[in-house]
Amino acid sequence: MNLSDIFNQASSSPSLVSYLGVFFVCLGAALAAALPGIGSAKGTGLVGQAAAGVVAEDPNKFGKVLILQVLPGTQGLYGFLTAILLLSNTGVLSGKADIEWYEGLAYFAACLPIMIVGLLSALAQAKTAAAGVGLVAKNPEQSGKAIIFAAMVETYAVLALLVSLLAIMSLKNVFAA
Amino acid sequence: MAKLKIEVIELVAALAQKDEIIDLLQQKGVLEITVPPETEGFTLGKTQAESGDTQRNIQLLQEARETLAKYAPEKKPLTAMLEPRREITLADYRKRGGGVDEILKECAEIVEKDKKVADLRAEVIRLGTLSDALEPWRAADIPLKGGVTEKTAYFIGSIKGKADRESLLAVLAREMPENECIEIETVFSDDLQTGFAVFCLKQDAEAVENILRGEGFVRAPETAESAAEAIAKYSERIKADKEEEAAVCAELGEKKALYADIDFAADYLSVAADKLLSLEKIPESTRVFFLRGYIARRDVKKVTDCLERFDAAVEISEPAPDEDVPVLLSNNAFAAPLENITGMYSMPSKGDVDPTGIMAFFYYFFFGMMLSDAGYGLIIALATGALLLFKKNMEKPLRNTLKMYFFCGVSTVFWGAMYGSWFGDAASVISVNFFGKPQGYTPAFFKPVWTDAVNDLMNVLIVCFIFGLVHLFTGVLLKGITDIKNGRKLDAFCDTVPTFLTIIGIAPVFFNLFLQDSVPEGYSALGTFVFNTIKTVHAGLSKFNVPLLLAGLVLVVLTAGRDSKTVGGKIGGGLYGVYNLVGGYLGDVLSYARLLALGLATGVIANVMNMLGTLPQDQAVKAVLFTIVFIFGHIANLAINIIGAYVHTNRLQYVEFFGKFYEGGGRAFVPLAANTKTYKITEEN
Repeated sequence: MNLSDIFNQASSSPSLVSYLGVFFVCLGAALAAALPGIGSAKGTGLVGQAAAGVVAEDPNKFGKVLILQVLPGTQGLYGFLTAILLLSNTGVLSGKADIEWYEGLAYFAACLPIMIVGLLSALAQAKTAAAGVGLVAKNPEQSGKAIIFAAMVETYAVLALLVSLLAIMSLKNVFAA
Repeated sequence: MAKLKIEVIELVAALAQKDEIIDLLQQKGVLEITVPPETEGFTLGKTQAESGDTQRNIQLLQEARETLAKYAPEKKPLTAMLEPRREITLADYRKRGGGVDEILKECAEIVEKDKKVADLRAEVIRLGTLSDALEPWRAADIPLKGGVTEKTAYFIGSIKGKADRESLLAVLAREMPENECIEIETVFSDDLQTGFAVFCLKQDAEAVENILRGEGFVRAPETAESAAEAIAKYSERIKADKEEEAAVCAELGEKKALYADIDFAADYLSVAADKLLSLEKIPESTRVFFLRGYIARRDVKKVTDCLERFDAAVEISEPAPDEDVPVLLSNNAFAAPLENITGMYSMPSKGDVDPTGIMAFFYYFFFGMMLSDAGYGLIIALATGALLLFKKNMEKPLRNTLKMYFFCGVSTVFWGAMYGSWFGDAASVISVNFFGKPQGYTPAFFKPVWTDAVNDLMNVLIVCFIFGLVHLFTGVLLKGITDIKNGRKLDAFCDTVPTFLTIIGIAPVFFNLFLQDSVPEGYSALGTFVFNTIKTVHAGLSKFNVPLLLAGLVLVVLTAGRDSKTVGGKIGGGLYGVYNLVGGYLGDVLSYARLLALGLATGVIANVMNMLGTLPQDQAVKAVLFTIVFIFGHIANLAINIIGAYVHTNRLQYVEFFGKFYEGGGRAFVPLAANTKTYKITEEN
């Protein structure tokens, strides 16, 4: 089989082009899970290091610093949530996907907010939470405030998540129409 | 649901009765002592020296306890934290208190013995090293430090690396050609060093050694006996040291009974330390002492009654208006568990109302909405409920924490039922996979009462925003109430009405962005009702929202800058007020989107757990895997989302709600009390 044969087969076969949509959906889901996941992994890691230092001095503070450590972990969950909802909404998860390439691209675009904000807000939140660990070390009664400082950052991840989800849900209706 | 009324108590009594009275007040634990204004003839008690001793002793107890834990680990059952403090009557407490010095002595001994063990261990290592260094010299059966006879001398040493006697002899022959009476014997040779014994005439010994030193010769460890004998001696000492160490360790290991004594002494001394600190706030003259303190009105009678038997003059009065009066909260069983949450932010200041009571409803409500799985809620509510029911003697702080989670759990069940999430979609997954129901089947009981959040984002989001508005408006209303309480009627109007008008006026525009045209088919009855209500209210408001908005904005512009002195300031302040109000509320209301987002996080991950368990084709394998994944998956999901729900519920209270009216900065009421950890002193009757 020579090159022109392959080309002819590729362009005449509807299946290859139609898989392009699935590819973009999977790319969106993969990055939505991966980027915030990386952010959360780095973030919880960073706070965990600070927390370990505090617990070494005073094991009783474990509960307080643990909450701070978990905080930058939620972005990973949001990314995961987006990925699962995307895969199930587009039918990839149930194996009944029929997605045009431009639909796939639109779904990919819908994932951008949580990809980008998830990654960066997890890192920013981790720094705040790590500073909060320092606060708890010196002044354990103020742990509530340390939590709030870190929770402020998360608002933007929540908003990005909602935009991604709303876009995914709306696209389904757009393409059904 | 409020701050308790705090009064000032002043007490003058004979110095002779001071100790007894302070002890009594400490047992009652309802009075915070404060330093009274200076009075001539009175000087403050001085207890620094004694305080220092007590603190040192408390540290000693702690050190001894930690030391003891190394030798006789304390086995605490998992339920230990649920156990209350042991009760002890005051008489027993005092009697046992006489033995604290003994306990301290024993603690000092324990610390001493721990040092001894450390010394012995170091000694064993040191001797082992010395002995190891001798090991190569075993072949030399003469004292290693060298020796002399009438004419000859010998010394023993080594050279690094491989060296042979011939080359050494050659060097000596070159340096001391006249001297023939030198003999060198190789004692041992290994990769690191070679050992030699050197024999020569007594008078040449020094010169020979100097030459050899030039070749890198160093003396062997200088023992008075042969290496083998010295090694034997060392190993004997090591054995003796180890035996002694074992004996001391065993002795310490037997002292488990001392834990109870140490815990008692720690309680006793911390009570004593608190008392000493308070004594520094009590001035005394040569005959009498003068105590001034704060006490809640409800406790006044308790104290005055028990002071009757003393010759004490007691006076109760209102605190001065500018006094820094401590704050004590008292709430009903529903809200009391959340006093901690309020305290974690800040105690209410003098002007504030206690927000705990009103916050309680929102707190439980939002927590449930964010955890939002009835299965998880049931676990929490049943576990905490059972503990509360069957372990009635738990300490109050623990009871309160459990109560808080009980109410949160109940609310979670409610929201889980609303969303139709019972361990995610477990009911549907089990029916489809194990009972042959068609795809998508859900038993009626587990169907959402309201709506399935995952597939109905918009409608849920709108309801979240409405809850947010209610929460925020409650905060604004509380601001008005605070103003009225503090006699600022104009502020009460300016802080509330313009805000309400503006926000209600602008809300229909905002909700236009989200409101759908109609509900999907098969929508639940409640869902349809909620949707229609929102639609109706929205349509109604939309008719006259513009006048409302305009009136509100005008009022804001007129009133927001009222604290400013200049006209320009007033106008600037008014305009800034508009910007602040609209921008601020937009951010605040959007923030309630987390009610939906966290709820989704729980639900979707729970669904994924259920799905993972049903991946295998084989029914038996599927059943086993499903059970395992179900248990561990849902435990992990619950753990993560409980933290999320807790954190974000707090955030909504602290940032959005408290931000509207609460100043905080009050000082918590800290009474002189018997703050014990292990024993609870009961009053005798």
